[in-house]
Amino acid sequence: MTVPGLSAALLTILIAGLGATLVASHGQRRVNLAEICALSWFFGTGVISLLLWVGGMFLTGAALQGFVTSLALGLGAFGFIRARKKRMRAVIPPPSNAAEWILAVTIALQFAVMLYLSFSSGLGWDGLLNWEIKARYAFLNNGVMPAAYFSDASRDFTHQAYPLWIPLTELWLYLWMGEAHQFWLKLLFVLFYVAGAILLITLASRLTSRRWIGLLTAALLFFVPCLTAMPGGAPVGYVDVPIGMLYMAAIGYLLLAAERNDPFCWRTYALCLALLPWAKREGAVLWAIAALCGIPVMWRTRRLRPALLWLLPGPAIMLAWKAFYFSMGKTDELEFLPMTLATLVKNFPRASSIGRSVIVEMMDAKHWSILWPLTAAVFLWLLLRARGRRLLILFLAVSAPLFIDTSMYLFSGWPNWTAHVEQSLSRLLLQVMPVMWLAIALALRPPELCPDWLCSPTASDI
Amino acid sequence: MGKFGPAAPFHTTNRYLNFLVGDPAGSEHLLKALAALPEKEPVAVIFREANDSDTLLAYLVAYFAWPRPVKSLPIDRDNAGSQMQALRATPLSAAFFCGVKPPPHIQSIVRIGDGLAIARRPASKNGMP
Repeated sequence: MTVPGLSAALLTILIAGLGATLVASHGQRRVNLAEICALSWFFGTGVISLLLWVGGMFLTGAALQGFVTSLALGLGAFGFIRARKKRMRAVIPPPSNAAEWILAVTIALQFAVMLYLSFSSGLGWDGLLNWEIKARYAFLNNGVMPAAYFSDASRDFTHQAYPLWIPLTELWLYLWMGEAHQFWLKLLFVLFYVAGAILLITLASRLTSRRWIGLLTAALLFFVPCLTAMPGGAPVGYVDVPIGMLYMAAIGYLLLAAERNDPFCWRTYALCLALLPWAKREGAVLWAIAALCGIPVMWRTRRLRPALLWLLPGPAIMLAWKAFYFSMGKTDELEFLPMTLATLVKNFPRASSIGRSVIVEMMDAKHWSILWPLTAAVFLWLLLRARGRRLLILFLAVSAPLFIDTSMYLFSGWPNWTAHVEQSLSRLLLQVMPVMWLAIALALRPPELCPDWLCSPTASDI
Repeated sequence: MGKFGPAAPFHTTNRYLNFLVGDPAGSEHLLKALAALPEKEPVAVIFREANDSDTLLAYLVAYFAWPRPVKSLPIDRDNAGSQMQALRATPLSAAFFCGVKPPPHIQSIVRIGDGLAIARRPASKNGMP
């Protein structure tokens, strides 16, 4: 039952996500199959976890599983029928020369290594005690998060206030497997990495009009040590890699939308954006930055009014989650002090120490290799080469979350706040790491021989 | 990173419990011990907060103890006496000593590996002896 159940769970996630992706692709004649599958994975996990959360308010057990399965299959069928009516064709453009083949094979091998690493590691502290624990408790409670859990002070260490994207996706696997299974669960995180890498290839290729650049950036991404060899990396079940990939996709599709004003890019940007606050509390910051980056682009492309509607799902999910959480009887946030001016003034002397910790962490080659100095050089190079809106968006997308998230340590409520910094800083950096590869890809682009609009192939060609 | 697999439901918790108390089937043993306790009554975990291994062990007990409420009793040199007083005063079905030696007067002790001791409440009492 375990492996067939696991397969059914993964398939229903992909079908639900395919429905959402095909609806977003409305109007496209040709789509890239790898890109569609990668987006389907992200959107599918979002759809399934949200349906489990909402459905769990009314249903339990087999009824809940049946309800979510029917809606997932229905969404998939709706998207498929719509795509057929429009005669949409899915293509996988093969590598076009020896270098691209070598890079593609390298990336495929990296996926296999990531799978091996994942099955050779246990879940990390947060992977087990922040995320999987919630999936386990919901599984033991007939598929619904137990109301008593949220107000249970003895489980404060599990961070009840964190939203449920990952735990409820894990729960979906458990419901289909018929047992809570810590081993197979880790497959989810490998798939998040694989889907993220495919999106990085797609986005970097389109932004640079060179597929080899997309393949090269995805191949190099694997060699950032924190991705594989650090608490918080892809094999140990933390949310930071999935949320980082989702954020990279949001920013990447925004950059494409800014360039091409393509409705598919806008819709995909909006869907990625909507999921960010559902992933983790820092997701609200990432949502705000990605939305802020989007507003001037929407203004410029005269899409402000419809696009503002696309920005609504993120805050709606955020507020619904907050309302749900508070309705469960929990109001205190133990991790942070009240965000008042008085606290800010009192704790401001922490700022220099926080800044030092950030620099030290960025320079730690065991965690990041040369990635951060390289990124600094890349931004400088891009600044010298072209001061366009792409550069501004990418710079904001990397620097603003870091500034805001690390400033939050001024309000840390931990008795030993430096321990809070030590334990979580690297994971904050991990969340913006994938988006930095888009900047690196742009810097790799050879000087233009022709303007963008002449060189850019259609979306499905890359 | 460890060795590949095994593809077992308690893959992670057994790794931790093997590392912490030397029991490669610690999850199953802990669940068996918990199954003998009433579901609605709280249990206590006693651990040294300054010791990360003990803290992780206490969290693992809390992980498996659901739906039982868990009374957390972190101890250090200064508060050990008062925490034991609190243990006696609290109505509990069992106390889990995580990396901490249980007081010698407590009789019916179940051990899981080397470092986790479970003291069950005698049938006639509310608090621990």
